[in-house]
Amino acid sequence: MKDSHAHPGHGAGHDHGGPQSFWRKYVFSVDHKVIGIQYMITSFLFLLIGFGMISLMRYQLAWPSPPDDFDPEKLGMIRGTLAWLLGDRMEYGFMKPDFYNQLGAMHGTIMIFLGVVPLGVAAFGNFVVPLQIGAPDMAFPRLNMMSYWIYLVGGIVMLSSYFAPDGFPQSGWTSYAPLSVVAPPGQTIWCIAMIIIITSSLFGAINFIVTMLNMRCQGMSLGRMPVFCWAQLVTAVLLLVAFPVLEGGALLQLLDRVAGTSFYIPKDMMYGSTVFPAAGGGSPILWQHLFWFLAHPEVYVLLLPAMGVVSEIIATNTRKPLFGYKEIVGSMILIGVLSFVVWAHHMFLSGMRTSLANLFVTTTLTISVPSVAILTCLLLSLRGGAIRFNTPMLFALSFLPMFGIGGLTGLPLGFAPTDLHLHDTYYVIGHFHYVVAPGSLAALMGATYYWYPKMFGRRMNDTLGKIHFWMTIVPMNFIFFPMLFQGMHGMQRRLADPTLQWHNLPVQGWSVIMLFAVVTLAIGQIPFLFNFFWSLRNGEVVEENPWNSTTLEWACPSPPPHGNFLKEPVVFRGPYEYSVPGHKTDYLPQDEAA
Amino acid sequence: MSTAAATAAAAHGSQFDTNTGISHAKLGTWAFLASEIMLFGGLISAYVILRSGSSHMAIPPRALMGVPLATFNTFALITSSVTMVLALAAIKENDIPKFARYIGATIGGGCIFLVVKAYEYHHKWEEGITISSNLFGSFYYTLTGLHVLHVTGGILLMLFILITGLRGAYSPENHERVEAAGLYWHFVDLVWVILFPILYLL
Amino acid sequence: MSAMAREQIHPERHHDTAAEVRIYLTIFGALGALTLLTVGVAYMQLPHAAGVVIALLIAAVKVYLIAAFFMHLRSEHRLINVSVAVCLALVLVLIVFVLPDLGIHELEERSRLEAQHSAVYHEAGAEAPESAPGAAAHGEAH
Repeated sequence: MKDSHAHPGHGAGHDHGGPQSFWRKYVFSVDHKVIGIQYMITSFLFLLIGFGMISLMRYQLAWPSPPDDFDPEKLGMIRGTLAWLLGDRMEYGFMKPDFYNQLGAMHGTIMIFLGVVPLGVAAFGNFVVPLQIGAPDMAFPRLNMMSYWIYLVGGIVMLSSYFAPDGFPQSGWTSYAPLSVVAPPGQTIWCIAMIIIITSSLFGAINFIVTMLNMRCQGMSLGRMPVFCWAQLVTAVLLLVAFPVLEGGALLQLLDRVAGTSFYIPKDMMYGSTVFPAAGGGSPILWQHLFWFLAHPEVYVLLLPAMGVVSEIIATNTRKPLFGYKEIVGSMILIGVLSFVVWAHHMFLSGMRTSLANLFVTTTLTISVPSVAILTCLLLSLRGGAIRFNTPMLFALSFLPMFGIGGLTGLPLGFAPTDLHLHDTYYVIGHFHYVVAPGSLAALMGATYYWYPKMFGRRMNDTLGKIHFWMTIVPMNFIFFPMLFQGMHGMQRRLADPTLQWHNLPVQGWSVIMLFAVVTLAIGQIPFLFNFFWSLRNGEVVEENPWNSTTLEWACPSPPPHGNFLKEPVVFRGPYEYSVPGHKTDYLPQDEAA
Repeated sequence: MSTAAATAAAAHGSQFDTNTGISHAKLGTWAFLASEIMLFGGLISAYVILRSGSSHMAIPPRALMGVPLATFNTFALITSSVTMVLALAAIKENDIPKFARYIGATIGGGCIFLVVKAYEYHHKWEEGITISSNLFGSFYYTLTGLHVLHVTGGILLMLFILITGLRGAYSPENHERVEAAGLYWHFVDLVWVILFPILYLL
Repeated sequence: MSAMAREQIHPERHHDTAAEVRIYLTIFGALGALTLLTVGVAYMQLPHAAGVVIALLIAAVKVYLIAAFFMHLRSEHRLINVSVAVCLALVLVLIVFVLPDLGIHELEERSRLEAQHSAVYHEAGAEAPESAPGAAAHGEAH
């Protein structure tokens, strides 16, 4: 671990003792750019796996149980294939509840911990942050490499729970006790995998914080750091400080499962018709508190990098300064701070006393203020701009109304009285998916198009990008908006067959529409995947700054060499000096002298 | 050298060309310790909460807890903390033999702690305080067990510091790793200073 | 730079280290004394609340001494001191916000109420409902 880093001439002149082998250069690299791309590819793979799982689930939900004229001998093509593939997890081609719950728990766990967070934080954060602050790499390159491999191992361990007796964990991604304590062995693997994944995250967070605080180039004060970096800094602090509490909680759950402890098991708990064999005295609600203490800041970990990306893309593609840089950064910091005191709004129905619930209602409603402030600033940033409607901008623009819907639908959930009706219904699922899917994930897709030229030296095809955009955003709305109706109607979460509850029958039809939207969404990713790989060889070659942007990542070659900058950049101004009166071009890069 | 960093460094009277003037090693170590505060803090909170709220957490009588031995153990760890900081002082004076002796004493203190803990665990287990016997036992072994793991890690870290120090890696101008390792060791001692009263005395 | 030259520029270095060592040994003494004190107080059979407060106070002082002097927080950059303070505040948040829910014999209270609740149902001859902790009625009873 070296102490000082911002070496000039650290770029082309840096010597690793000769040419590096393929393994050193592309597999076991300590270069933040390679590691960022590794994270990106791996997280896309996990996102695909999680999407596959939910597709199976949505198929089940569209037609959850056999109709009256069902003939088990004559299964249709799709149902027949599924029955053949999945064997006794299906019953006549319909999903058994246990398997449905397994897919549900894994969908949530994979999408959040192995998909969106690694994509937003570790992939784009790793690649872009050192470039945007003018640093040659992260503060701890070897720790960075270790973080990636630990993440991969954690992900593989998590997936390997498929082979446990009775399969994947099935207690929800929230793993509520005491169900998670008595659940089949897959849940033990969940606990272990989570501890591994959390370790990777913690190492990454340490790296991000030290890098941003210590390795900014000359002239790059914190007040001139791009919003994307600020978002990553706040996110890293959230991860650093919140994850260990879940790690501790998961350790306690693991011990409850394998060592006979009773941290979450009440006294004389009935299990079937016998008393569960543990000393008892613990509290299942304790798990909820420890879990949500992390999991609430976690949702801001999902959100903030996306907001950072959207800020960057909007500034570049409106050709004007971002509105309210200080307000956006201040709001992000405020969100980070407040995110630690809102967690029990996930627990309004756990029986807590109303005075405590009111406290959390107050803090939850308060945290909506900085979120709205950021959204408002981003909207105002559009006003008077010369908007370029390229693919990244389309994704960034759509983020605004989509996050708007997501945020607004959160308000009735934040009010305890209305949450009584909506908790554990599809309304909640609709709400959070709006924020995460057409919100964060779409923004990160935009990030892919935006930073691909820097990563690979070529543009992605914009026409294919626009097809991908429309075939992503529109279907997503047809998937998640009806969930709001279903939830308000009273359809509960985590039911393999909602039609078993008769009150759900009037809204069951939406599930069929949602399935067709899922299929469209799936097909819509094909242009993206094709575009990504096709453009590696055939995309339009670009120079340093294809978007004519002002931030430092565009002041080095595409892709940047090891060490990034040929000599350490010097920064003269803030990050969004677009359309400066009197200047010959409509953008004034941060490192341009005059 | 980064001029911005150097300016900031000069302002802090620091030798490191980082924006904050703090070395990467130290800042990184404190970031890591922040996460450790939350890890132990979360588990200790769980203990405090259930200890207050559960009517089924019988605290073993003090005689069974073995307070005198645990007090001795507390001294052992505190002493090892002192020898650690004295080792750092020795490096600042470029006195490698003294540094090695003090690091050795630190490792020794840590090992004594582990041996006593092993005896304690064995003794308590025999007396019926096991990890699953009741909620107190669960917390006792979990909290102190996690702490034992951290002490073990610390001993390995100190061995590394000792070996590299004997090979001449540290000097009055370059001892950030020693200081960083010391921070970790002090933190482990600090956690014990909290665990000791809440598990043994209250 | 030769050792001699270095010393000329920093003549106070030796004194600094010797003074530092004296401080460390003083703190060592204080920590030892405080350890004996906390054990002694524990054997004094004070009323429970007082015992807890004193033990925690002594522990807090010991923690402060280790952090401030051994970990050099006293002379450390403000950033680090603030970060440590924030973490401690968060742990306090976790305890303070959860104790009203789960602490102070809440659990006992809750199971007592549930037993009452099912007793009422048994009397009425109906099946006892699932005593799920989410029932709003229990929340109101508090």
